Amino acid sequence: MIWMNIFKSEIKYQLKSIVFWVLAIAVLGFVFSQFTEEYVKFPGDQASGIEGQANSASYGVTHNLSSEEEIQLIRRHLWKDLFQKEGFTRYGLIIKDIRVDEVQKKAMAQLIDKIDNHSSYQEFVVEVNKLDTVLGGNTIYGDKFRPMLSRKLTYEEAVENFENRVEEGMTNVYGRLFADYLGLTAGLFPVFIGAFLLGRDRRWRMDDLIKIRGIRSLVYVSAKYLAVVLLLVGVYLIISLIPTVKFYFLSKANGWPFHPLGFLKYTVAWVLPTVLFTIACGMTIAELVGSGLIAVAAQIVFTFSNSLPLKGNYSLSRFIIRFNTIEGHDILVKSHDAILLNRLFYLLLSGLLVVLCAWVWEKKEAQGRR
Amino acid sequence: MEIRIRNLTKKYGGKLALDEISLDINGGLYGLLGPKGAGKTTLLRIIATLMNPTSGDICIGHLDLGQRKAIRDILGYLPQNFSFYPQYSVYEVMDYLAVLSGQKDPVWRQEKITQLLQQVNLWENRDTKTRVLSKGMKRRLGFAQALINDPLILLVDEPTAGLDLEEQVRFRNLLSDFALERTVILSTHIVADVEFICENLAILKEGGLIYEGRIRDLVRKGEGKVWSLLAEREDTLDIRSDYQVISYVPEGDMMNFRLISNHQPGPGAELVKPTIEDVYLGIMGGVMG
Ligand SMILES: Nc1ncnc2c1ncn2[C@@H]1O[C@H](COP(=O)(O)OP(=O)(O)O)[C@@H](O)[C@H]1O
Ligand SMILES: [Mg+2]
Repeated sequence: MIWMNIFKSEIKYQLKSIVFWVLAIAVLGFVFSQFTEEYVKFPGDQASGIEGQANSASYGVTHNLSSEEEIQLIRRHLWKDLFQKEGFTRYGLIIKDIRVDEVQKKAMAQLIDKIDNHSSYQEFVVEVNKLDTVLGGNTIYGDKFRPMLSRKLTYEEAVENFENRVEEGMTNVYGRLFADYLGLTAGLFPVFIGAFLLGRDRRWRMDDLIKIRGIRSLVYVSAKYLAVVLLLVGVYLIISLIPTVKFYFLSKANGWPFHPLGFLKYTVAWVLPTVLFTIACGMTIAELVGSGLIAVAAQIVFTFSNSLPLKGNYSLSRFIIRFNTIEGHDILVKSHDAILLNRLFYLLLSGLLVVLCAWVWEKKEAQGRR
Repeated sequence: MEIRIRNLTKKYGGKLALDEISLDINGGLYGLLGPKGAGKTTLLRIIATLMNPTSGDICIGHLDLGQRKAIRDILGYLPQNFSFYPQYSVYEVMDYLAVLSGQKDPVWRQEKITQLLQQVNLWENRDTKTRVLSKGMKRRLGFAQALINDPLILLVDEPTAGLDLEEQVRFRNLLSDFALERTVILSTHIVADVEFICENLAILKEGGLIYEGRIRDLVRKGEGKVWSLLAEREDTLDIRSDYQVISYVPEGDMMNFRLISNHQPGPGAELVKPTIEDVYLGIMGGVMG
């Protein structure tokens, strides 16, 4: 079969190419530099706890705050910003400390008043967002970054959380955290293959010899696409085996139940659609604008604009599933349908992009060369 | 198979590369002669369906340009500028391109590729990586790949440029053999390429068609216009500015000029038998219509 021949040739090519292996190692390196099994042990006997802080008994932090806790934390923050720092922090790609002017000071002081006399949580939310706007956005006060607020866990809470984790299955809890880091790489790294997949023919000046064949563009493009998909899916699945094995031994040593598919299922459901989309997107943009580098640049922008918030936003504009927490079982329950829909959407979109790309590949007038 | 080209125009942005070209190409070896920038590559790429014309039509047999797949199935193309995946061997390139041509049967492919590689003298090099092939070998591999699907029409774009004389001759012979039963369009800026192996040719200049017809008739255009003139050496500059000089060689104290002129250029000048190169240069220089 012709499709199979092209598919196999592409796999053979990639397996011999340096870019592929560098990429696989980069994914591995990134994920294991970020992912740790912090707080996996019973609170207090943290093997991986923060050394030297044992006395201050750190049991981790929580972002799950009650409305009242959130309001009080904001009030404290506001106080510090206004009277100690006389400034605030702007978040984003670059984190910057900014001094406040008189107008902003006044707004901050008014907000303290309003907080002290607020009537409802809704009113509080409206007011902090107003301040965020006055300060120019991307501050701790706005909806986007307020979820970063956290407080320390008490010992009792830490024990309770721990027991919940054991009950749900450590492999599931850490499977989500692992998939979060994997997903970040999946949003970017595969573009380095996708963006140059078809351009390679042009680069080696073999494009005329290929296009002159009777081959249907969808056969050619889809065979190459799926070959790369298969390889990268393989990379991600194999990488997911590493923590699976690790957690097998951890579970055995601690007597926890072990779910062999804990890591793999989140990789498959959350990460692989991102891989498919990133390759399809890179390939299509490169073909549309005639430049792999532009496709890579675009993907870098997409990834950064998709990397925050760390969890909870699964709207259709998010092609990376972020779930950077070992708490959040309630977020999972609440967002289950949204995540499912999101993943199906990106699977479908990837397919459509491949068809579009094949169409462009066919229609695009070959560039004359002098 | 016959190719009919009607009022073909191609613009690159504002630049006119082909200007209302009309040509009838029947079987055999057809020459497309013209200097760099004449529009030869553009014309071949349009026939090859790799590029769309700005206006005008081409009929290949009973197919028109819209029937890309059907045209590509009967077409072989050796581009002017091409190369291969450097990490593929000669055989792998042939096999890959054969697959893309729709040849599903591996046994058929093997036989065909063996035969073609033997024909172009690359069988011994079948396991050589393409990145280390010489220019001539690359061109021969390009020729072999163009024949994979047994094309009825073969387009070859400047196949001999940059090759040494021996390779050039070998290439011309390959083309003549092939053209016995098929249509071959050979684009070139080298007169010798078309001189001996083409029966008909077209001459292009800056996108315009300035001659179409038989080679024999082309030579006839030069009759009575090519002169041999013996003159003083110090007249060289004058003669070169007054006439289109094809060549000049010293003869004793004098200089022997070969030049083109509609009238006798000087006392003692003698008419000589024109060559196709004389006529081509005359046409390019604008002194011959
Ligand atoms: N892709 C292109 N973009 C713009 N101009 C081009 C392009 N390809 C060719 N040309 C111009 O069109 C003219 C004809 O080029 P070409 O067909 O390559 O001629 P030839 O093959 O006879 O040398 C030249 O002036 C060339 O500069
Ligand atoms: Mg050319």
